[in-house]
Amino acid sequence: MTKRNILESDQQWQKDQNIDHVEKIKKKIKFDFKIDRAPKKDKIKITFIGQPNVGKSSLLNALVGTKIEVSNYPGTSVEITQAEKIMKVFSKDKREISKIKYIFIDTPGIYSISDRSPEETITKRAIFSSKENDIIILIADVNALERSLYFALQILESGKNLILGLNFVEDAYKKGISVNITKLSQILGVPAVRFNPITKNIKDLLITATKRSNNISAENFNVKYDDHIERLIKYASEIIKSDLPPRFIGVRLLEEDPDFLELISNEQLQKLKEEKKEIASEHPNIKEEISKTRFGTAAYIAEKSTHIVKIEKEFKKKQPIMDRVLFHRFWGPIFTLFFFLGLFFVLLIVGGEIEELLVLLGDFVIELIPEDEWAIGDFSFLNLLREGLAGGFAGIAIALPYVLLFYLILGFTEDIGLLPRFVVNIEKIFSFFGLPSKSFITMILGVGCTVPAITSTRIIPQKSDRLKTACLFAFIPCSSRIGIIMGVVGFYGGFIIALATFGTIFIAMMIWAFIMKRIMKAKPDPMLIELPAYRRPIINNVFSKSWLRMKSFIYVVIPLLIGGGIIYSILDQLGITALIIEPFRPFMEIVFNLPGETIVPLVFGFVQKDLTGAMLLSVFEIEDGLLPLTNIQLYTFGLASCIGVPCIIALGTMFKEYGLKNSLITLFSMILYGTFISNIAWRVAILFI
Amino acid sequence: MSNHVRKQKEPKTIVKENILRVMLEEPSRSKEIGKVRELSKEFIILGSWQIDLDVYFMEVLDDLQVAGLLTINQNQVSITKDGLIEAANILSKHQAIEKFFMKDLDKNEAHIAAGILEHFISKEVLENMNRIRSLEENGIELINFTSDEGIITALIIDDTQLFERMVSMGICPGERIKIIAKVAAGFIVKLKHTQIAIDNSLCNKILVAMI
Ligand SMILES: Nc1nc2c(ncn2[C@@H]2O[C@H](COP(=O)(O)OP(=O)(O)OP(=O)(O)O)[C@@H](O)[C@H]2O)c(=O)[nH]1
Ligand SMILES: [Mg+2]
Repeated sequence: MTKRNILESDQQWQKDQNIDHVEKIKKKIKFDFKIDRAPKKDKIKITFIGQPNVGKSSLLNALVGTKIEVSNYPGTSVEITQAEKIMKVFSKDKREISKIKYIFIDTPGIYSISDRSPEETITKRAIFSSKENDIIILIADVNALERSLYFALQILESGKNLILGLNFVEDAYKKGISVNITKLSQILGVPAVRFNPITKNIKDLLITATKRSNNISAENFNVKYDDHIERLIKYASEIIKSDLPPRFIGVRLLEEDPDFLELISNEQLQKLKEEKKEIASEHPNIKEEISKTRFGTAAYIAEKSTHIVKIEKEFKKKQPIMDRVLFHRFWGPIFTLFFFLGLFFVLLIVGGEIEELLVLLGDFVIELIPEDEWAIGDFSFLNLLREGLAGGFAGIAIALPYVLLFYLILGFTEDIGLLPRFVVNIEKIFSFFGLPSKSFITMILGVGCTVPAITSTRIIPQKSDRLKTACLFAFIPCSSRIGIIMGVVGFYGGFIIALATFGTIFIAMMIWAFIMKRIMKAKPDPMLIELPAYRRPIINNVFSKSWLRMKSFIYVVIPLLIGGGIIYSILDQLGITALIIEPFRPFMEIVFNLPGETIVPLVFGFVQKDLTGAMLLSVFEIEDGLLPLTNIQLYTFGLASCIGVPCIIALGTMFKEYGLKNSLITLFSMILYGTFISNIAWRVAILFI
Repeated sequence: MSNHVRKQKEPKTIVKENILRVMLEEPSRSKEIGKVRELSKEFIILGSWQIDLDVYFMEVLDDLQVAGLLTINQNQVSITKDGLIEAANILSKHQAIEKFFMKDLDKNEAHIAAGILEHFISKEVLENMNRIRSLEENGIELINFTSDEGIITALIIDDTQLFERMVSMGICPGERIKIIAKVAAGFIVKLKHTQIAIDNSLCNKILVAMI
């Protein structure tokens, strides 16, 4: 193949519309979160949008390899993810036409372009920042075609270059729904293509997108509203000039989209209101009528383009047994409770076993390091290495088992489709504490790691709800903190002490939530959540998802642990640690009833929670597996290290999502509250023992 | 009313239907032609038609006689049995339409609207209109709904974005809704193939009618 310049390939491109297949040539994928704003002709930017849980992220993973988490609940993705891939494009006669750089963009799922929560705003922005030549693939779940079409009709109004990607075609067929894609694309005036990210049947979609990038369709389907409303749309469409289609602007203004309303002056708004008043007797609520008409049109198109086929036997059964249990007024909450208790004990028991194995392994490796013969005075490099490795191994042994187990179990739970069903059962308790039901999912994620959990609060519509939830991550033990409680407090103090620590944190959290409910009077957003169909978990997905989630643990935490161990050992050998410890000794003793040395693990823990356990073991240079701490001290140490903003990365995320003021308030109030709880707790505990 | 997809009514038909209505509303079944003409004119004015009755009157009267709905004896017009049925039909439509509009318009306006529409709307459309209206009237909050399946008649929600969210999830007036379970927090419902959990406070705002 000779290398063509862009212009030539462009002309060739224009001539050759019968693209046959595309082929990947480069495995290396760049992965970042920025959106490229200047598409060139040898680049095709394709944005995947769609309602939640329709398989957008699955499609991106199928195209470029596993990059993002895929789960069976609405609201998995809360961020824009961009991935690039260069592919060769071939014509029918096997001629290479050109090389094209594809930029795929996955977005958080939204139901329509009216946004209620931050993740939805993100997608809305992504849609409207896309340029003329960019392609938008709206992914539709054929099982609920009318809903996706509602969204598609809105996008068509906006004049974007749209392709309809139909997912779950096989599933729907088994349920008796068959789609006529020719008819569908005829009605809508845009291509409709079926695909399947699981079986990797994605070629047609990619080819259609590639062809489509050159010819922007002229005639899109438009919803026809009532005559009076149409007249009003025409009026409103002339208010602002922009590169969006006037009709779309008109519709958005009538739908009272805040983003569009802020573009017009007060005077214009007043005039628009007067115009509305004129037809108020017949159309008292225009925005509702627009939604209803659009949905009616969508339902009509869906009906016209699907037909019922014979239903396969296994899909005829009425309601899954699982649902009969989970939606039972009594058994539902009981099942939910036992599920999480079960999860908790599996973590503690199995996690503990793995931890012991890892400790043995660590000791074995460290033994292999020879005694240092070239030490300069007190300073020895091999000692440093030994300390570093010891820190690393301690951290790994303490945290890894819990993270790994938790993510595996979580992965299965998510993929079956259980999480939203648990939400139904905890709603009553959550509303008692003034929390929105959706915060439950984010809190479960928080048991893994606080950082993605804070980001995932974007699925919660109200700001006050979001803040309330974010504060609670100070209490929800992430796997690193579970590691401290189980791997240190439980390991040295016994199971009961560990349970007491968990219990105290839990009570502290409930008290905090109750106080917050009193302070922030706003009612939580009512539960309105889609319950996805049960699916058989795909083992591959569960593992790759767990890997994605643990990657940062492996790449960031382990080096940090080793580094932390080395730094501590240097400081120690230079005698600096004593300088840090001494001034705090009285404070630690009076407030926490703990030896002054424990300030070191607490401070290191703020950098990274996994360092806490490792550092505690380092400061006391334990031998014979004994820590010079009483059980009550272990308990207090567990509380002091686990209540509060967990680590610098979490604080940074908090800052990114909620701004400086809120994150600083949270940080300091949590340090104070954590200190207060720890102080009360050991004083009470002493009374009992 | 055989063909129910009429597009445009002839002025003649309007005159004809008005004459029949006049004959029905008068207690004595036999009337002087002049009187019939006068009363029909009133009707037409009431329905605000721009029709010159005199142009069509005699011709329509003849047509009606040929159709066997009226008989004319010298100056007296009387209505036949068939004519009575036809007239009753028109009247019932008029009343149904009047009832339909009574909700949004005052009595007089509803009467006028009915006077206009009765000539245009087929019985089938009218039946549907009334069914929808009666559904709307019978819509009760989902929370108090006792049957397993119904039709959503209205969403009483002020928050625009929440309203659109619900519609885009498929919770749209006119859609069938199936109740899967009642849980402590609210309802589990099914719309087409989608299952949704809805909070009690929202269930209060969804009106549903039995099918
Ligand atoms: N059986 C089957 N399952 C699929 C298919 N496509 C996606 N899934 C599953 O559907 C679920 C949702 O997929 P995601 O890719 O996370 O959906 P999404 O659109 O990114 O969802 P959000 O990020 O929540 O908006 C996952 O459990 C997938 O495994 C398909 O074609 N067939
Ligand atoms: Mg996703």
